[in-house]
Amino acid sequence: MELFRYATSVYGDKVIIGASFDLLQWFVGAGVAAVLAHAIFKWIVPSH
Amino acid sequence: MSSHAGSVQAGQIQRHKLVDRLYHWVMAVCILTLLATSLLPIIGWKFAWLAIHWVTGLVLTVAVLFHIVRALFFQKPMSMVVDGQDLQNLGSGGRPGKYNLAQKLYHLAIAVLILSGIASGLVMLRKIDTPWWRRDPYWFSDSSWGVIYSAHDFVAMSLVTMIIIHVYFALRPDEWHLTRSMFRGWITPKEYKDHFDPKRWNAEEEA
Repeated sequence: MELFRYATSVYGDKVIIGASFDLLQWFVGAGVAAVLAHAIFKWIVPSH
Repeated sequence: MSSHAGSVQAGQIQRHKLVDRLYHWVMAVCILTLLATSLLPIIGWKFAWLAIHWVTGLVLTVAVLFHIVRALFFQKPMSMVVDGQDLQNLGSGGRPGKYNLAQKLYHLAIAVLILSGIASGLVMLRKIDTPWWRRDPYWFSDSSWGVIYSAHDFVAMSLVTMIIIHVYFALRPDEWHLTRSMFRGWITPKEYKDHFDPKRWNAEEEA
């Protein structure tokens, strides 16, 4: 999986044009993981 | 307790004034609009998103500038800064001031993300035609534009993570008093007593 999106410049160079949007699913996953981790923690240790 | 102007009645304690609640919701609408107009076309929903996106970005910029001025000169900015007591409370379970450690860290993260998004977005405006100027894609080199666009993209995707976490906490039953205060402005005296340290957040003085 790429971190960035690339294109070829008029000079033939490979240049970064932005972040790879394939990463979006990982950012969604990180949010869901944080939610689940907190919910499970509060379920196990409710008085904390 | 406060019988303050606005929606707060006697027997209620003001947590967020109307102007601050309006700021929060304007920011929320702007962020959701910005994410929808940037990410929906990526996942296949094609529409004319660019004008909505940059105009909303300018609205967000003005709102954030307003918030910075208000927070620095008309509120208590230190109430949002992590201090030693916050760290001590991690072990002792002591009550927080107006904002707890998690809220302060969340605010710090969202501030960094949104200011980065605004800064990169304002620069990116140079690459599009607006009523005020013609596009100039030669302001920076291709690789520099790539770095700026990448920063903007990472901010957008990080905001998705942050919104998921924010909505989760807003919906948790043990946080409903905070969620209600962002709609109605107030918490009850019992909620104030149960959840906050009055030495660190003097609600009477602040009102």
